[in-house]
Amino acid sequence: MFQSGSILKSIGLGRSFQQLSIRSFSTSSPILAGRPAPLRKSLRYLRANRRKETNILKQRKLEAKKNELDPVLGKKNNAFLTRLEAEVQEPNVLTRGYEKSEVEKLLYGAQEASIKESFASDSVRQSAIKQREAVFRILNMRNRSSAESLKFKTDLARKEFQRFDGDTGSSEVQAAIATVKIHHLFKHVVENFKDFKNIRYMRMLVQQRQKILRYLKKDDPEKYYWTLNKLGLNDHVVHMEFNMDKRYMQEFKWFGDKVLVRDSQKQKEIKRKEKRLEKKAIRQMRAAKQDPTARRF
Amino acid sequence: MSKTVKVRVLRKSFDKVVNKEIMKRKDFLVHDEGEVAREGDLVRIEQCRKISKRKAFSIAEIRKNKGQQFLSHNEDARARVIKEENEKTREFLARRKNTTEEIRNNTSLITDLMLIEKSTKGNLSKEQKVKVSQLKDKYGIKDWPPQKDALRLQIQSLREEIDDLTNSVANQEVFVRKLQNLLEDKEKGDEILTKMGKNVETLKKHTRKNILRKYLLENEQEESKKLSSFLDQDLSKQVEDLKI
Repeated sequence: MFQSGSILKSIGLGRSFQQLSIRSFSTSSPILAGRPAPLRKSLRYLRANRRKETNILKQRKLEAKKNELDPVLGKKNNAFLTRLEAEVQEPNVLTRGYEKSEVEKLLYGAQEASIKESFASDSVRQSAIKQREAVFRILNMRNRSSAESLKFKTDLARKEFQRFDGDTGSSEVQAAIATVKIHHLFKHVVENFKDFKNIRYMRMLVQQRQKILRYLKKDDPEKYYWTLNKLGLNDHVVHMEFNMDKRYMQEFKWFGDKVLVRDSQKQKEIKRKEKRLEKKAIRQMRAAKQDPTARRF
Repeated sequence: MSKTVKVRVLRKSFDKVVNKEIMKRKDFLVHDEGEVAREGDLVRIEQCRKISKRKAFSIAEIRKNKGQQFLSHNEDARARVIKEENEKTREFLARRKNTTEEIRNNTSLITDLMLIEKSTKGNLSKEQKVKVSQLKDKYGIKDWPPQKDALRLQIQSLREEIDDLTNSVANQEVFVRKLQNLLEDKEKGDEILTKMGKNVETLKKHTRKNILRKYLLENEQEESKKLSSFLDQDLSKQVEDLKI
């Protein structure tokens, strides 16, 4: 197989060289009469090669810039998500949809009712204080499981993204909830890197979110871009082919500098070559900047 | 590649194997002299001279500037989201400040209500009185215990409905009596009709009745308006008197 490929290549090259020589013979000489003499063939080749290398470098830079954003977590320090996290950690937040003011009203009502019944107001008030403290400790978000805090966060996210009251199904709500879940799972996965079940679930969530957002772009582009900006994502992240694999985790340093995927000898060689090329191109560009008038190849 | 864009052309073609039409696509490199096309636009392309190895078409027109729209949507959304987020974080910080203050002072709705309750019973110091009035403003409490139905029962609404109906029946009866009087008093009726520019002799009996009914209704409305405005004036006068 390799042999046939190389033969084909050589044939192709040969043909192009022939064509070049014929053309230069017939047409170029009268036109170029007044210009300086053309460079030698070998020099021309070197020059073209240099141009190619700088172009490759440029393309690589563009590609790297495109892939800067984390396709799972999005922009760092996203305002919406940090606010959600802060909301959960507030001291007076209660679980199961209870509002602090409502619970207090209820407790006050119960206290007054029992005072009316028993005529011993002081003892009732004393025990009511203890009761109140117990109720608030039980209901406080700080003493509850992480599942309940996730529920609280998803509920807040839903309320911010909903199109009308009680909307749970529109695309932006689904995407927002998926994002909240992803960020919640991320903390767990980083601490428990052997929890493959949850890593898989997270991967599915990321891809599901991509799908939903792709649909939203078709359905309502304005909402789509609003959602993206709110969740700290971008268009490229939604439309790229992405699998949340170990290489990605290594690249974005989920577990610090831990090596998750070892490169083969061949891949190492390729990377070394790329690095060398990059260095060379940078050197050449620097030289061109220092002395732009000199004719280089 | 500057001045070059990739254009995807979709074509239908009949597939013999699956026995139906399927979409086939081909990508063209296309010349874009003004660099006007954006990713996502719908364009028409035309053949031109061979520009490079893979370029033989150029953009003739942009049918739908969807790509441009996407870019502008993105810009708008970015500005909007920043504005919204700033507002929401400000709200959140205000709330947080409130709660920290509550925790520091060890106050809650219950302690506040207990203080208000205490104020109705006995002697309070001056500071406490000021505080009670502040708390009443805060929660919108006018009297203690607040006179408000904890639960609205159906029987209450039914009773109110009955009251409304009896009122309207009484009003109707009064109106009917008035109309009867006006119809019986021929001189007065004639006077009103001539004032309105009607020919009294040619009017039929039921037309006469209808016109007079309408007249009475309008008259009543005006009267009620006058009465209400008069009452308002009276009230404002009373308030002024009180101030003096």
